[in-house]
Amino acid sequence: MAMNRKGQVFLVGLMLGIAAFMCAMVFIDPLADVITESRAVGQLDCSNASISDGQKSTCLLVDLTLPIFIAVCIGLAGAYVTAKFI
Amino acid sequence: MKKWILITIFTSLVFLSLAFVLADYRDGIQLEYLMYDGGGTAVDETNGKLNATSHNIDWVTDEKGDPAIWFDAQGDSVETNAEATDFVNISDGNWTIGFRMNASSRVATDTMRLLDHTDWWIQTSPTQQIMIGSGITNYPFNYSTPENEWHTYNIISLQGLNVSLWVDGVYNDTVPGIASFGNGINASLNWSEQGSWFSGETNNWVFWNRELTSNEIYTWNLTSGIRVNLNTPIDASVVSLPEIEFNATLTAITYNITNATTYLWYLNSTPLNLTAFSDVTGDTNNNSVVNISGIKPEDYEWNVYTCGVKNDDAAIHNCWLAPLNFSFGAGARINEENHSETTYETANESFQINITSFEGYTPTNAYLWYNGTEHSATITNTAADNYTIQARIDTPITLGSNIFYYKWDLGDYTQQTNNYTQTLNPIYFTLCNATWNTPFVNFSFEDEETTLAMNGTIAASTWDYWLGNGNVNKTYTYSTTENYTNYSFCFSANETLTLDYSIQYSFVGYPQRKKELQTQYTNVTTHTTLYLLSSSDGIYVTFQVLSASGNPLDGIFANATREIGGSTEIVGAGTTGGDGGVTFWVNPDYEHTFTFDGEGYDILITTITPTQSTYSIYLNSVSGDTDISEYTQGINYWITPIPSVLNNNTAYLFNFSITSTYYDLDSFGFVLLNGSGTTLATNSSTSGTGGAVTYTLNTGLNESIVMNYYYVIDGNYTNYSVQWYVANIEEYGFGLKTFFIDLVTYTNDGIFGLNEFSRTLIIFFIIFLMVGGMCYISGIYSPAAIAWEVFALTALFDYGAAIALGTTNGLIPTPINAIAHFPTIFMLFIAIGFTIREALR
Repeated sequence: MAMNRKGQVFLVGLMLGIAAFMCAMVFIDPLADVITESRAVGQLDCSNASISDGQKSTCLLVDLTLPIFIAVCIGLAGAYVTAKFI
Repeated sequence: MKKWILITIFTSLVFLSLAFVLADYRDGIQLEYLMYDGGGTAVDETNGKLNATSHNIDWVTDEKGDPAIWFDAQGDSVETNAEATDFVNISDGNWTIGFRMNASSRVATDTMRLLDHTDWWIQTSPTQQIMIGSGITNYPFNYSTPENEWHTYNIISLQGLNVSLWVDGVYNDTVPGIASFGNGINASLNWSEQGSWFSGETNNWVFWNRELTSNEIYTWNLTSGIRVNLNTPIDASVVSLPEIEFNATLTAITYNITNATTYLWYLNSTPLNLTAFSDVTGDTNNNSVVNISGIKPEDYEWNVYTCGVKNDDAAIHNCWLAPLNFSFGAGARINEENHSETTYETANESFQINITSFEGYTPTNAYLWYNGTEHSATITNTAADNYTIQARIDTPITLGSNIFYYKWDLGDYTQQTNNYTQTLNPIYFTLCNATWNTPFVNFSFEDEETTLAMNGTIAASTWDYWLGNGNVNKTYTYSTTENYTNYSFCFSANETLTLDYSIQYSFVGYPQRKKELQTQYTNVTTHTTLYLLSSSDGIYVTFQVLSASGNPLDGIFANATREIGGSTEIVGAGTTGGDGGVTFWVNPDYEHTFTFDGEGYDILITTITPTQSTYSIYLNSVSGDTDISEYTQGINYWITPIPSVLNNNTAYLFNFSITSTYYDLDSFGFVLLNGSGTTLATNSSTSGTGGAVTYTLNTGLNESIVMNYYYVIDGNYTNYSVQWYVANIEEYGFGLKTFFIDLVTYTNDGIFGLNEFSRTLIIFFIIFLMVGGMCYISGIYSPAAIAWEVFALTALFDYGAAIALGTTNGLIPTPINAIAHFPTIFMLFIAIGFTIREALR
């Protein structure tokens, strides 16, 4: 029995969503490297307790970069799949 | 016929007893010069045996008016002309001399002889001490003769070894004897070949061929006054009643008895206020018989103080005591004593004494003292005041006659029996020889692989052997470099022998093995096979024996057995060294049973086919006999780090804190190990009330960390363990964990003046904005949905942050310390409540 149109669209949307998610995940490692470099001693020096409050707040934002990126990826992928489903 | 024999024996005993009773100080007198003749040149022997010849003497009277001889130190003398073989049979060296003497003022500072003998003499020294001289050695008594005083002297030789001086019936001193004392009393008074002349008066010279007793000396000395002879309780006796009859014979000589008082002292001379008066008077013999009550267990001495008036002048009053106090012990009466007269070294022997205790007292703290060593004894009440005191000991290794006695307490008094003796015979365990040829055990050798008989060498062997319980044992060692098919060992006694042996054996091409065993043998020979394994058939296997905390255990006995020919045979034995290792030479093709046994640890038996070169064995401490809960009273402790997951390559402060309010801790501490059991660090303390022991350890690349922490109370070891898993921090990347860690770190450092409260406020604000934003965007207005959103975010910042940070609480502080993550739990209940409410609407 052939899949109806709505089912075919959902399947394609799911595949594309997963593909987009996987592509996004590929960027995690380079992004992590960038974050590591940014937090390093020569840059923000986040591990140093004597840095300024501004540097510390920047470090916090940098720390949130990767979670936010992952959350956005998951959110967009989920929204895309959900939109196709709905 | 039998009747006449019995009558004869009975009559003999009666006469013998009578003779004993009638024996007095006059028995054994050989020569007696009382000088009652009082004139002329001859000095008569009182019993007409041998009169002596005098030279230039003068006759005077003593202080009592009796005749006496006066020596003026100018060559006056009396010669007895007695030969030892004529009159005196004293070859055993036992003799007594008695005389009265009044020494005059000295006319010379040299020694002066009173009695002269071919080989020895009695003289006074320049310090006027009475002394024995032999021409080689002088032995002065600790007594200086007073001048112009009459005194009575006795000199007693005991076997020629000890010579004692008694003055006026009282013991004074003892000096060593002279060998020639056994030659007899061939003596003359003041007959000196050396020209040393005595100056003074003397009479009443008596020579005995035996040693006089103290009572006999007292009696011989006492020629006036009242004589006191103590009867019962006899000297050195034991009584067991609180009321005792004291009996003494009082003999009035020149005084009439007016009263007598019996006095009692503790043996240590402490005065005792227990006295009794005797109702005795008169001028003849009387017996003082009194009862004294209130006596308790102790050692005592007693005497009777007797007073009288002179029978020819009632105005003169004097008192006398017996010359020596009699002693007695008030304690338990010994009814019977049982022990083996002869036994062997190391044998387990029973010693038993049956006593009737002192009335009203129960014996306690009984001991057997055997050859100077104290052993506890049991006390059993058999009937009324009768008790049995018994001890069992393994006899020591001291051959010949061994002295032992019993001691026990009666109240504050310790009673001790006389000495008993037991003879111990030796025991010998040895390789059989011409002397000892009864084999108890025979060892032969077999190839473990082929079970064929072969030769073997005993490279070393130690044999502890005994007959009793093993508390005392002897040791035999044997080794040889020769090869024999078998070795027989023999024992000297036909007794059951216990052997605890260790034997190391080998052969060319067969590595050395060791067998250790403790078992019993009899004179029925036990045949034992020692199994050897060739170099090509075996491997060396080392067992690393460790405690539960991973510490190497020293002194753990291990043995290896396997089935050979249908029976279990020992193929190796050994004891772990300081590294906890013990090595066996075993066959990797067969299953073996290995047993590990050590004091303080549960025995462990494991069966393996040993194909590896090393195995680790963990032994648990013995805990079956100890109520662990008993040692938890008042104990509180806590461990840090708190999170169960640690980061690798990170230094953590490992802390074990303990408080003890009930017990005094012997020690406490911890051992840190990695997952493979390697000890990483240790720390301990001996603080009795507890405290903290810490160690900062970098987790490194370990995958887990184990802390075995313990505390010791009264020698009882209590231990527990906790484990942390170590996560690889490289795998975290930069997720929320890093954010949370930095957020907490920075807020703790005071970023923008923030503190914990403001951080909590910010998180509340974030939750508020996120929930509000989602509601605004999605149009959600259901209280249940909003409550679940709030719960999810609360859980993220509370529980999730706690996991990320490795702390108990996350970024939201809990208002109730006893309940971790209370805000999350609280929100969970609210969300569930709203959900149920909506479902029921």
